Amino acid sequence: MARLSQAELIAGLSRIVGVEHLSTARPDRIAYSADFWPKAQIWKQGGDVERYPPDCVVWPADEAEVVAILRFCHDHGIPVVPYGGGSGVCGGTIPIHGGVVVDVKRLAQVTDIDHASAVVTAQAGINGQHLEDRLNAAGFTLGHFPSSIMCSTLGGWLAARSAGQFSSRYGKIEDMVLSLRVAFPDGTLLDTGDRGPGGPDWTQLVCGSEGTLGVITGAQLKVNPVPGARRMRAFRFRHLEDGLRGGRAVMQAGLRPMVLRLYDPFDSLIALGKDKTHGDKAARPGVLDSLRGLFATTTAGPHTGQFERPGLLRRRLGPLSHAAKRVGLITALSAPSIVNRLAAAAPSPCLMIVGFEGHADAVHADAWSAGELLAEAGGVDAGAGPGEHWLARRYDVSFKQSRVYDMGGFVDTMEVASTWDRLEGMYDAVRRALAPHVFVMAHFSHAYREGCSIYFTFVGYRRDAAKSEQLYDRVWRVATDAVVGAGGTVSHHHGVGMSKMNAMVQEHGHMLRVWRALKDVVDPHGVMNPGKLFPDAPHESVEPDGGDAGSA
Amino acid sequence: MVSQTQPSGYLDELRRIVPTEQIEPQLDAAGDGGAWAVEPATQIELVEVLKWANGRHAAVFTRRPRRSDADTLGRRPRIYLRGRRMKRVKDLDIVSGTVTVQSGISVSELHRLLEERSFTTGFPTRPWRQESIGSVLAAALDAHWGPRYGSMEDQVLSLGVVFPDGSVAGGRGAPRKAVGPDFDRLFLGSRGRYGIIYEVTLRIYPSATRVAMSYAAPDLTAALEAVNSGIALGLDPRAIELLTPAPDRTWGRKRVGLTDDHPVLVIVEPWGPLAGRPISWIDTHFATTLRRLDPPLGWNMHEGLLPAPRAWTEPVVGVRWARLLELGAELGRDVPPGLWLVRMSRHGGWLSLASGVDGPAADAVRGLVQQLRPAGPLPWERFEAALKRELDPKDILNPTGA
Amino acid sequence: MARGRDPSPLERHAQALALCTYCPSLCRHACPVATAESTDTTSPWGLVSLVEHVRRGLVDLDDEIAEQLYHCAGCRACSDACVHDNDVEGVLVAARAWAVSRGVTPFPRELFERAPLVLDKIRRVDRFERRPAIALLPGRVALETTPRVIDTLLALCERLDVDAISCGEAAALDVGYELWYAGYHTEFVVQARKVHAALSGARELVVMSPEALYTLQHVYPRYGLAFEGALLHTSDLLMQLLGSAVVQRVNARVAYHDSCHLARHLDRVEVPRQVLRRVLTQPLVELAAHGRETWCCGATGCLPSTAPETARQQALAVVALCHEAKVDRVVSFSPECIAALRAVAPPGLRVDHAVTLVGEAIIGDTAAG
Repeated sequence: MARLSQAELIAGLSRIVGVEHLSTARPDRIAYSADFWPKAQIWKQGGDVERYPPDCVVWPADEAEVVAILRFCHDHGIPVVPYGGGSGVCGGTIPIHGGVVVDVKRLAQVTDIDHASAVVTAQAGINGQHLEDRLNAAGFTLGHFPSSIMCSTLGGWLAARSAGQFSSRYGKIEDMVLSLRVAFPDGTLLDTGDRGPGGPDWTQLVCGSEGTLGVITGAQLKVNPVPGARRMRAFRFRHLEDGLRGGRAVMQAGLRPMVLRLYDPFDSLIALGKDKTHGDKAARPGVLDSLRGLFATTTAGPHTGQFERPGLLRRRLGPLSHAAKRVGLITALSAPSIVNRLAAAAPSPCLMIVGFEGHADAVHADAWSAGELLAEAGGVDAGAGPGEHWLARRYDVSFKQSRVYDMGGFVDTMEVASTWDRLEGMYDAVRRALAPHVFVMAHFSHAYREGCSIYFTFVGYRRDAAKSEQLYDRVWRVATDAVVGAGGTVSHHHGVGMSKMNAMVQEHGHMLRVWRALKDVVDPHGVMNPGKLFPDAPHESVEPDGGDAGSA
Repeated sequence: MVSQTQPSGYLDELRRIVPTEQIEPQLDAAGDGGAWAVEPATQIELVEVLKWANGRHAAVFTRRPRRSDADTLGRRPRIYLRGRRMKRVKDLDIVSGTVTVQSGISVSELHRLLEERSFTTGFPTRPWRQESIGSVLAAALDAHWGPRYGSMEDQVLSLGVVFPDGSVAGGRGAPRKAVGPDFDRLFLGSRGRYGIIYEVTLRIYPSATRVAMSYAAPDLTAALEAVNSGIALGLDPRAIELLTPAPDRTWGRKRVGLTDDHPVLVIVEPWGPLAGRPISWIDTHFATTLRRLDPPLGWNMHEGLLPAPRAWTEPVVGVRWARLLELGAELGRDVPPGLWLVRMSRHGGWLSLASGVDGPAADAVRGLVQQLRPAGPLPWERFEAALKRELDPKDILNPTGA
Repeated sequence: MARGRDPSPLERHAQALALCTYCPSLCRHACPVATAESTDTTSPWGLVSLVEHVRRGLVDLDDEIAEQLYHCAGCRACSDACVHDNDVEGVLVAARAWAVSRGVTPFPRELFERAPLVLDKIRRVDRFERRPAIALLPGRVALETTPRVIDTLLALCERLDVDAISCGEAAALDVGYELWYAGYHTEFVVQARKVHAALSGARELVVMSPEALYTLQHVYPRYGLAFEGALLHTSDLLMQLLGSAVVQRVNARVAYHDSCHLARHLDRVEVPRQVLRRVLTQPLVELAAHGRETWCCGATGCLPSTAPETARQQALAVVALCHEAKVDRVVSFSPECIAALRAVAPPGLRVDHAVTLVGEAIIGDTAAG
């Protein structure tokens, strides 16, 4: 299969989408050369803003055009990168082998809202917030509120198994989806809802495939009535383990809060909002304050804890200018071990936010019941304030990350999950693994009956981009090893992309054979998003997941 | 490629893998390759049996022998796997609320073990009491919609699978993941065509329901409305279902208020316990809430679950509310006995046929199910066949030709 | 122009540029242009990133890059959605000015430069004085597309005893919003001086076009061209007049489309609504996107000149909102919005200036403006 010349590529694709819906222009090649993988942000910091430009970007108008594009690329062995919002944080849409980026945002219709059945049918390219707005206008909500809702698409959510902040009540996107429409490179367009009794559930075999099997063009999803009532509560726990015990009790009692979040001591300080009432302390910030300042929400929240440990590296910085903040950050991040120890010892109680929504009767009964359980676990009622504050400001933290880059550092998040029995062990293991390298904080969110996710945020700094990249890679390596060692999964909802690909053999073992078989069946030429999700190793190189084999 | 080894040779080879008492020769037609029921007791034995079968191009069935098997398979040796020796509970994790079992344990045995610890699974107990967990999962009869526990697939936290070549895969259990597709789903519902489920981690729940609420409705539409308003009230029961018992069945008709004028039964099973509230409070909460429905309906409260017939028989099909409401209008009072809607939720329910109903009534329900099924050849069949070739190139697992 | 090579105009925005470049496009949902074009290249993040790459010298500013900078409606929806309050419009105006100064813009000055209107055209409206004490500035679009609205407004003034208002010679002049927006700042200043001179001495200026009002009120002063007289929008004037008026309320189901400049730049969300509520029997219908969250119909930011198809798609999106709200009549206080919506409205949707509706209530004139 001789690779087409650029001119042949353009001519072939133009015939499908029309010349005005195809671009090889530099601005497009720059914009589509990366997603929001922090490593790509580091490239950007270092001045490399188009490391992996696509050969071209196409914007198909409908499913038929998507199918034709895939067929064309399949026939000519051209890499295809399916693209929704490009908001992924794992490198999943970076065209590392060039080829064609297929942006599906012209497929953005809500095609049906079935009021009687509470089911929505929508196209994959619709922006998340636009979908929610349309549903709200019809009296429904999807209940899916990822912090990327403003910039991500339905198709992206499905391709990467996204979770929203209210997943404890509404589930993740894979729990909401009833069926998918998928275009495959051999030219097939299939609806996973056309399914008889028995047989595997293809919806769940395509969901999470991150564009490596086909292009999701649309979906049917369960929706819910806009909740009639909502109630936020908060509790303070002296010890993290008390909070975890309380959270587990709530979930296992069958209560379904829409949100249940438990912050570790340092993250609690941030969640509680910046303290504007203790002016004298604010004027003498320590190194932790400079980190806290990066992430704290801009308006003062109700203050319930205080931060007063006289830090080893405390500096008198006066009113924090941009430059001073930068110095503070660099100082703090030059000694992550010490700063992590300080943060862990922050005399802050662990804050838990729990919220219920739905039918008023159920909301009040459940909120009451949750309160009883959390009090029993040692929680002290902190009122509605912190929860309301979180609700109002819950998207802001995504904005904060660019401040870190602006100051020359990098920040990433790692959302791992495990069953309750392994959760604390995993928390400790990951903290231990990260502590020597980066500043780390965490909260527990996305709680379910049998387990929970831990959301680690880590901040690192090196003098130049190359060194930052090295540090970044090392951090991920030690962190995923720690997670795997502790018996958790390395991703709860961000997906794999390139960032976690190396952990996939440990994660799946021989189950990867199923993916390889799927690839051979639906994408025999391997054109779909090559170099993503799973390593392309031959079957033999996959290590058996050992251990268990002899234990039966 | 048919092996020239004689059946006696195969048996000798098998005996080297599993003890003799775990091998039971099956009725043998002259000239075929031999047939044995094999009961591996460990995962290693299972792996070795599959490796052997793959090497010998044997057929491995996870079902009972059929007379036609020998005819179809000619000289290929046949193995009928029995899971009954692989029934160990490997881990009962009451902290996380999960149980890990070998797949040969029967549904009833698992429930009995769990009940001792006041837990239950999310599976309905009755229909499959004697079946093994592995076979129930491989068949995955039900699907998406469940008001409280969710579908059968939702009960599975992770699967352990042996592929036809003997390689073993088993993911770690986590409540939710985003590490690629959910490969476990390939094995749920595919009836052992791609691999053998040897182990499963299931979600478990505190056993709870003490009462059931019932309401006898005059017609299907009224029954559907009752269900719908219950859901709209924010109740989150273990089960909401709708049943039209055969008139000649005498089970508790009076007890649930069924009459000729009120032939359709709505059943709601509360769920509990909620934190700090006794189960009786939950029951009362459901009862008072349901009785507050406007217009008030005559809800009855019953101690314990309502009795049979509550078995699940094929055929079954998922139906959305939009279609259910049309069905209510079409059928009115003329609801065929045996029609049973289970796992009802805000989005729809599953239409099936209650056990113990036959004749024209059953045919009527089957007809409805047929009508509601997607028509035509399923587009996935081609993919499934290709996947089979990839994962089981020698077609040893439950060969479909037989 | 050697001075133009100096990148300093962008340094002022350095922090905003960095914060935006590293942000995962969290205002993406709010951008009507990127939504209409279904692309991420022309999202606020895409455009500001390009500018930042140019500022850092990583990407050369050429025609192809510069062309992208004109895919913006200047609607400020992104800034409203931004927790950092990044001034995307300001960044892009500065970047365009830089492109213009380096001679790499693909759009010639002539596209944005509006020759003075023939005075006859203005004399044809009901009232004309050379130098009125209360000067009405209808703007080019209103004069060309909805002259009867101007007459209705003047008739309303007359009916409500405001005699001093009329169009003057200054009404023939374009205030230069497009020149400024497109980055032709030298030409803009020349134009602005003319306008300022022609309007000096007026006690009050009543401006119909929201972007013209924004330009006079907020851009002119940056060049030392502030006005002594009060600057009013049509809606402000009507609000004053309606207090004492006898109103025969109109019984119609009407939706209101907020102009971006009116709602976001000029913070006039309530006043137009109060005017409309005063003359309507039925409650005013709110579109799904309204107030400060209004969806831009593509009429502004010189988008109709630089990306006409995008502008058209945006107008269609607003028409779809009207359809969703099940109204057959929509009003606006912006002549530009009205022209854009009328160009794409289906026969079943009537698009009016709010003045026409007020006219119906007070004068009884039901003729479309």
